[in-house]
Amino acid sequence: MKLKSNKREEEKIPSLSGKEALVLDLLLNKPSAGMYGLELVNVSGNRLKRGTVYVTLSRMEEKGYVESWQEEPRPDAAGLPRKLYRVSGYGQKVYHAFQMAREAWRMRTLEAGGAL
Amino acid sequence: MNPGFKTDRLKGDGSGTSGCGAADTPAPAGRVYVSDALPNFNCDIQKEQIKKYLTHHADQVRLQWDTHEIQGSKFVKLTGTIREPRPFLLERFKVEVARFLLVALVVAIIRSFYKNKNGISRPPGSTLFAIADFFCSKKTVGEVVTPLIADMQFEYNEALAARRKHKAKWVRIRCCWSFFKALGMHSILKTFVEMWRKISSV
Repeated sequence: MKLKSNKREEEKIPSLSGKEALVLDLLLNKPSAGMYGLELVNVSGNRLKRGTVYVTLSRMEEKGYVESWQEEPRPDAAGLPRKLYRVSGYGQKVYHAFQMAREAWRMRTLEAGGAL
Repeated sequence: MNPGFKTDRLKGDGSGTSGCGAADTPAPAGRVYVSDALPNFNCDIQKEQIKKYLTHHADQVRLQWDTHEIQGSKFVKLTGTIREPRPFLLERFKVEVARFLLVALVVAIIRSFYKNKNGISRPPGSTLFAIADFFCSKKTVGEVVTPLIADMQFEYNEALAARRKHKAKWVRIRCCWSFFKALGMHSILKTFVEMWRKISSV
């Protein structure tokens, strides 16, 4: 049974929504340090919203596109430690595949437009 | 019977007839409540009550009467409109001031109830955290609420360090909105607001 479910998992085609692609894009610009939720919102220029970014990140973490870790608490800083995110290897692969597919789709539509 | 409003007073003996000699006048302007529930008086027994009623409501009631006989005694049925006198501007202003003072009093009572007597304050977002802890699963709290509040606290502390109190307050408000939006509660809130609007418009 377990083997079967693993096989199914492998057969699953990874899906990537527009927002998820944007998050991956932003995170890939700063691969080593990682970014936290609000930073992503600020960098995106209002394309990501404060209320939805955490839900998106949580979903992406579930899918395995990003990985997160807690920031080390500084002695001078108060409050909860922030959660930082960076793109996982699988996330990078998916993102590149997504970009290739998007490019191919664009070329195809351009060709179709030219033919018309 | 021609419906109309008789301006004449009811005679002392209560011997009015159905619309007889009634001078029809237009309905009084302003807010008008049609009242079908005006009292029926027994003409023989309740002459004094009729007089008192008319004296009391002289400014507000314009009457049309219709006598009818039940078991040998005459009754007068009063129908008409009761007009609520418009409150003066000063009266309305007084009501508004009273309302404002009442709200201010309630707010002051609530604030005094929650007043921090020890000088120890909880970090911002702790109430939201408690709400989420009660309503949401551990997974949601860990993956959505905790990072949201952690980021807010970071921003809040930054604002306070820069001595920007108003920005710090604004950060808290924005965090509340993000919190409700993140947990899908904004839709519930919207429903309540719509309900409140509908109720208040009635």
